[in-house]
Amino acid sequence: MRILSQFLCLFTLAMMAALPSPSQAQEMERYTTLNLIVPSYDIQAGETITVGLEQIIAPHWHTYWQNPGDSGAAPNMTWTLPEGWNAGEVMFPAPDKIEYGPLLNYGYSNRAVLLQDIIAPLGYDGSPVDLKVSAEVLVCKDICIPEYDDFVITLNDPARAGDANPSLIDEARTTFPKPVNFAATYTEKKDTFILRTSLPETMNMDLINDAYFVPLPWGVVDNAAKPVVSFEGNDILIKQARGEQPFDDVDEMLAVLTLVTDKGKAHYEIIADLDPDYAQMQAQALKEKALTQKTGTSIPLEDNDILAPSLILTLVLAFGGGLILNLMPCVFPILSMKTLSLVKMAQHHPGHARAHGLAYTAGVIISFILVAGALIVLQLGGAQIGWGFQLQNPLIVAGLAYLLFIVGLNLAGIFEVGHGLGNVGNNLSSKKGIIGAFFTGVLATLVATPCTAPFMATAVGVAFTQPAAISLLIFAVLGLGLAFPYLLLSFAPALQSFLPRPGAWMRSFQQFLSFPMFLAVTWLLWVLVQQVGDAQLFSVLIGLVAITFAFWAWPRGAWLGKLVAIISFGAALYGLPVVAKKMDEGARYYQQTKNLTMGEEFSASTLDYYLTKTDRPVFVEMTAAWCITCKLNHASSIDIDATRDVFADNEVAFLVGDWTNQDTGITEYLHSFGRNGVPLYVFYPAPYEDGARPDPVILPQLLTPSLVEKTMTADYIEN
Amino acid sequence: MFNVKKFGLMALAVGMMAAPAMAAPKVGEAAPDFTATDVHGKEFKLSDHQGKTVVLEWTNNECPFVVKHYGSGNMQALQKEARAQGVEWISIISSAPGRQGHVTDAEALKIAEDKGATPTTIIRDESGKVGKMYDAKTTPHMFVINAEGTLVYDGAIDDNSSPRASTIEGANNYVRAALTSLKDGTEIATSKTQPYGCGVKY
Repeated sequence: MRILSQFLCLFTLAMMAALPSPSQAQEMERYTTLNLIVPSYDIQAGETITVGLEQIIAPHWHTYWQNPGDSGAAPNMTWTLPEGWNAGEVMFPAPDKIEYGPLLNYGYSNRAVLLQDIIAPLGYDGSPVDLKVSAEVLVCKDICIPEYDDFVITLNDPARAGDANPSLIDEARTTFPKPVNFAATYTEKKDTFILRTSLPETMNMDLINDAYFVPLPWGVVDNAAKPVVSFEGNDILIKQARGEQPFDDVDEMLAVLTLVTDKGKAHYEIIADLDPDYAQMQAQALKEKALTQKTGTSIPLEDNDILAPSLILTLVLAFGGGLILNLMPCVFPILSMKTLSLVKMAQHHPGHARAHGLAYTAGVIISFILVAGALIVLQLGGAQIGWGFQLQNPLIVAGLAYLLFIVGLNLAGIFEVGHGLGNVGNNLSSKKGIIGAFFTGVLATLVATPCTAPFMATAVGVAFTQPAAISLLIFAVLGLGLAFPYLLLSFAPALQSFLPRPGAWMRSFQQFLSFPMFLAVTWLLWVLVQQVGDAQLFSVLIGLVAITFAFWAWPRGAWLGKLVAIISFGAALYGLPVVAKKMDEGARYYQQTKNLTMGEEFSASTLDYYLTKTDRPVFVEMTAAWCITCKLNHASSIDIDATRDVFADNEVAFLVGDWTNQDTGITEYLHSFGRNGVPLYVFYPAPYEDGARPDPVILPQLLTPSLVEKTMTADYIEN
Repeated sequence: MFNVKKFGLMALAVGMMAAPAMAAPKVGEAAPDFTATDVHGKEFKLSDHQGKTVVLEWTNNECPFVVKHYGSGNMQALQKEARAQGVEWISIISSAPGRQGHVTDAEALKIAEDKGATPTTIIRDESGKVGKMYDAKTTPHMFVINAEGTLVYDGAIDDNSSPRASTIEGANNYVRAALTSLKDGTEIATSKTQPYGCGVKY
């Protein structure tokens, strides 16, 4: 029996030794050692003791400050206290800035001691009391690990008192920032946060090698951005890219300002006030925003000479633009044909020539006013559109393609309207002829809208910053410019003598003019396919064939011909809903930017990145598939070796915005420069020494290679 | 197939130059559009999903803060609620190869299955392109995009940054609140908060 019990004893002992003890069961590696530092184990009623949480952190690992920065989390102390006992807020030593890949954190390495007050209630009777705390600390290096420790301290019980270390608490206090009354203000300018701290006169600024600050509220600055420090007398200025929390949401701008001297670092806790001028700037900005919402355009803060032209100058530009518009391939054929009919008329009916001239002019001017009016109304309604908006609508592009094609067919002689545009018939002497002239004016306007001319863009841009009445006046003058050559000819018999005598050549000339028309159609189709895709192009092309067939069939075979013509024309019109359907799907079929040989796609955030996170100059080009001036500029002055070299040598970031279809972001960008259409070229020079950028430079509408180069290589002096 | 390149000024795409790092999107403005390949090999383009509310969830299955929300079932429950409302939930893993949280497509799917997670899809963004486009700083970092494509919430999943799962219950879940506001057509009370979690392992 004894042997058995002895054996059982031994067996049990052996088993116990073999089983892992609970404390060994879960042995995870720790990267912090947490200790609670207690200054004294005696406490009286109403007294406060300050305990410390000591973090001993493994090399290369770090823990976090109250504002941890871009990632991580501040430590937590959860106390379980008896009734009436209170714990104050956790207090933190001055943090370091710790880089973490592209992020930046605020925290500690090696060792840090946090402090916290424990307050005994007034009615405390002095009996032994247990204070429990659960400490939670996040420690990270490449990865993050939360570590937890529970502590219990028993006060006023000598049997259970631990080591009292008041000196460690005092030592910890020296790592804390010193609360000071330095006058400090903060503000924001162009996405840069600016902190200005005025140090006391007694401080010797020469001893300060460097300074940095760490804000307590989140999102005040972009933590990872490089700050720029400068000194003005006894003021320290620190500028850093702005963060994402609005100033309105920040209760108190507390920060730790650290001055670096040869002797080491001195940390100060400062409270900065919002710069009073900032409130003024805000009010100004709000006013401008209100104006923007009313007129649909914005007035830039800076003096921008695009807005400066007087009304007279603008009207002159509008008139000039209209005149030049006559030379555009869209309009030239119409003008030519009207001129030729004028030739015939002038021989026999000079009075009627004048009447035709006036009717045509009226048609043009009224059409321009109507189109501009529609644009203004839409903008007031909030639509983010600009001149050329009609071409952002593929349905309109397809419709215009049909229209120009029909005009081209007419010129080529496939069919004739009445007696044809170029023919002079009995109509001229009748009222019908005059009405016809009016509608020719309307037609001229319609076919002119896809084209823009030099000078026109400036005038149009100004037009949209003005009240509606002035805006319409500018467009009316533009129309006048368009109609002017014909009007002049119709009124000036002397000039008519310069016109060639009518003859057989007129027919050939008329057919010749159909070709510019067909070229314009080809261009519109090219725009269309980029907007909605090849299937839609296919249906529009079929539509064009159907139209041709319809016009051919109409005069042939009596009623059968007319029936076939109607069916064909209907089929052609069917192509339009197909285009509309693709539009509804909201797909932008071919990205214009896929075809970029240089640069990257514009977006507000990309621009913001380059302007605030890099020192590179930035060149922004706003273009559209239907904008011929844009294409010309790009091919002549941007997409050339010389310019590419300048881009490369100066490390210019090149952003291209494609406005072929509606794009709110691009429209807003255009508006911010007081513009309403494309092209727009803006150059942002590299920043000055202190980190601020010079004002952006707007290039003219017509570029030359030397102009582009000069703009990018000029010296921009700080003002 | 008809090729636009046959016309004049075309050239091959060089347009996909390196995406900028840390260009912060702004709440109230259009959410940056992006194209990426999901773990099923399908192309995902954000703008294709206009018309639906989209939630972007940056995640890293080994980060203690992600574990807090998945271990407790909190994230899965939120995903279920959201999906039942017709919301599209995209989990994005931007961990670079060799860093914590980096997984293969198959592993990502398995982890989701094991945890009972039900995102609409998962995107592995190992180049960090999408993460940097959105300035995603932590895991988790949550973005809510409304049906018009506007960013309406950017920040933490809730207002308690402790890694302890026990703190989830009393916390105010910003994502749930935003989705409810969108559903009810009311204004979102909190649209921008400081995200908490482990840093994204770019």
